[in-house]
Amino acid sequence: MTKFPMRAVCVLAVSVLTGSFTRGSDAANEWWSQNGTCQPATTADASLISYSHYGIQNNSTTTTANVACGTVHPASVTVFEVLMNAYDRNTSSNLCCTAYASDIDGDVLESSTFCTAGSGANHQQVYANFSDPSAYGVTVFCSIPPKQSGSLSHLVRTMVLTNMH
Amino acid sequence: MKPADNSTAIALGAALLCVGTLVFQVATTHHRSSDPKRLASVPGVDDRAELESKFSALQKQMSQLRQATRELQAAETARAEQAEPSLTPVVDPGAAAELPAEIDLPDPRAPLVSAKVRNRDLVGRLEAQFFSEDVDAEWRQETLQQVQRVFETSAPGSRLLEADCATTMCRVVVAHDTEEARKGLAMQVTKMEPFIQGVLFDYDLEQRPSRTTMLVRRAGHDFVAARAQHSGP
Repeated sequence: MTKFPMRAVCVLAVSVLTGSFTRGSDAANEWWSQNGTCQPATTADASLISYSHYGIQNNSTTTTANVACGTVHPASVTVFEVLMNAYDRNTSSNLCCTAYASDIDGDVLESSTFCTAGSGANHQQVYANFSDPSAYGVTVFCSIPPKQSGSLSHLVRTMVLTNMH
Repeated sequence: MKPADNSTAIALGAALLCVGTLVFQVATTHHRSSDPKRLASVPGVDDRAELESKFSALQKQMSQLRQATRELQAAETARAEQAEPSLTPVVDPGAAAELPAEIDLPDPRAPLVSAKVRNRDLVGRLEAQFFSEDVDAEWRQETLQQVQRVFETSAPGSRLLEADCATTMCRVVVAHDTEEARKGLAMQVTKMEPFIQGVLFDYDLEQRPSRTTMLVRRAGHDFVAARAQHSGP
């Protein structure tokens, strides 16, 4: 006589109860964390910048503004990529960001620098690949070029692609 | 059904049997007493109405006992059906192994340890890749000069111990005079070539003085070239 598959039924029931069907491949477990509003890196930078729905902008016509944006994670995460969205209107300087994936004690595990290419009216999205370190936080420092010919450069956002362990 | 439940059912069955026997006896008596020819011969039983009343009461008791037995059996069956599924995966190790990972609550201390182990593994794999690579001699010479300049001018408190480059990365080892110098290293060097391209840091705090090994990417080469690219949000 065929045995009733009680074990399979039980596993099915537990899966339904715990909602674990949402877990699939590793790719399904990845997500983007958006860094909060970026802050001026120093008090001197604070006098150069202002905010709008386009993010943070440099109002100076002569000086590059430095800003910092960060995410922290309650547990270690694998850092895959960091990206930024930005408007670069300066023909002589690019908008560059350096991302630092850090350990629980703040020690830097990996760094990577990525920049806009050229300048123009349109927004640019730029990525930096990481080598998948297990980190507790990612801090992104960006330099926003000065205003040129009345056109502002903006850092719209930075994001981090991670995978929870 | 559990053994204890069987006992209950047996007790009820026995009670039912006793009552049935009594009813049979009374019925037989009633039958005999209903025979007008023999009614007078039954000693002490003259009241027919009384006998009929007793018989009716016994029948009622039997009916109530039957109903109680049926309800008890139904309740026990339902309890057994509800209990079995939740017990099976826990009792059966094979079934427990099939349960999804989410219900295994991690030890809160585990992530810190495992993150450090994972990072050590990562550095070990990339160092193995570095030592197995061919050497791009021109790029190596140019890049080693850049590395030397950085530690001559921009990383106070850190001394260059080793530096070498292959084709897609360099390996640089420095010693630190102070803990402050060690902690400041990343912010000092990562804005300059060749470190601006990307650095993986590995700290050896057991050495005296402490050391940091840096694996430095060559422009255009990711550490994890084989990993699938992500399309973004």
